[in-house]
Amino acid sequence: MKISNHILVVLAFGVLAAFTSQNITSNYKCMIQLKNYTGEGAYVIVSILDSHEEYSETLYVQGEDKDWFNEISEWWKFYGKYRPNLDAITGATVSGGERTINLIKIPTDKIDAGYYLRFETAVEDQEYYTTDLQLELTTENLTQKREGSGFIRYVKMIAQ
Amino acid sequence: MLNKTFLAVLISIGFNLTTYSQNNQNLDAEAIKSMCGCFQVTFNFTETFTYSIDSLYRPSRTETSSALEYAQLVVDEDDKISIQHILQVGDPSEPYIVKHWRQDWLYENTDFYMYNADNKWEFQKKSNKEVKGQWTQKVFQVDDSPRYEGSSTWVHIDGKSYWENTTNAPLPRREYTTRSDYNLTLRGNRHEITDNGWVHDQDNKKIIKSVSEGNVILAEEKGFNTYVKVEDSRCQGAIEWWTNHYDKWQHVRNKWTDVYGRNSDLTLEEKVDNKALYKHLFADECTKQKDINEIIESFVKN
Repeated sequence: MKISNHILVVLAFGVLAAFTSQNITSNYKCMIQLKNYTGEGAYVIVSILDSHEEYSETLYVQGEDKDWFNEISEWWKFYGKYRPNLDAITGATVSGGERTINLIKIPTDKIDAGYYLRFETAVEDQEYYTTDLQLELTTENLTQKREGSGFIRYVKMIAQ
Repeated sequence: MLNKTFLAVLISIGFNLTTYSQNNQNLDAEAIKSMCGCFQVTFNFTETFTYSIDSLYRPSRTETSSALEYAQLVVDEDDKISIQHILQVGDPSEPYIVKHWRQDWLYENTDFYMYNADNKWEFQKKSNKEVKGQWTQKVFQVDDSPRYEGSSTWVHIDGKSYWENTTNAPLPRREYTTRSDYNLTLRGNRHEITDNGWVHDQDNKKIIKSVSEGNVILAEEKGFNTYVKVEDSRCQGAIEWWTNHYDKWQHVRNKWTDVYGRNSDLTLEEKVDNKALYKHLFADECTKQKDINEIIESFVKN
């Protein structure tokens, strides 16, 4: 009887630990500064990719017109399959030269665990950059200002 | 004497069959052309059966919408009828006009571009025997690039006139902008002429086509689009738009006729210079045959 109780406690703790580890997130203030360009506002998708560079999770979507999501073709193959609700992590596009600051929640168990952070950008009738900025999802990388290669001038993250 | 009588009977049968065939072709053409004019259209689509075993599977939302559509007769020949559909939406005093789909009907056509997913169309040649007495419906996108086509017989029976065909097609816009989990539509099309217009009845299958797993049916969809004839005057905006833009779209059809005449498999680019074909062709400055030729050719991969 006593042994059974111990097993139950261990099991309950295990389940709780598994549950909480999946839900613990680290909050980062994410500033995205765009380069100067003319044209429509830029769509920016922030995603976590696994070690094989397959999409794992969408963290933030800058751009509200859902009819245009399919234009961001690599991410669309992942997101368009199940189309989970993104309202809580969606913001409006910003134009060239402007910047946005948003809070993004990164699953703590994916930091320093072989994952990548990808910033994907597209502007209507202009280029689409699958990896405007991509970095290994490490604690160290999350503290550094990083330059983009497409519409993004730089991204700066600050732990909250 | 006997031989002469036999010959006379054969000639008579032959003559009657030819007349019967000619009459039927005329009846078919009449049915096809009754799809022309100004229509109040309702577009209705709903996903019916789902075969996915994925617990996260999300079906498409049921959609209903309505618009005025003008179907303009562009070509009217014995063996070819071409109808251009033009959408008219918004405030009737300042309507918004959108060039919509086009349907060409060819009598006993043997040359086909059959869709094979991922922006590829396979050229197929049928025998004269296979298409005897049939009409091919060729459906084109808003930029007159190919969409789907198939050959069947128009049926006139019990006071009804209809044409049915099942064929592969790309995803319609309402689907490819909202989901990415399948890449081929098997369209069951039925055009039935009614007392007040016509009905476009569809039973479609949503298919995942892949090299590794072949074709997997993900779900089925019912489409029921009703075209109710109204006074032409209600489509005045669309009629004027077509008159003003006729030459440009004649140039576009000319170039596509050249491409389709190559009678070989066709693969098209999704975008050139970051823009889809329709965006290039819809631009106001794009009007000259030379420019149109270059634009369309730049999308042809082979």
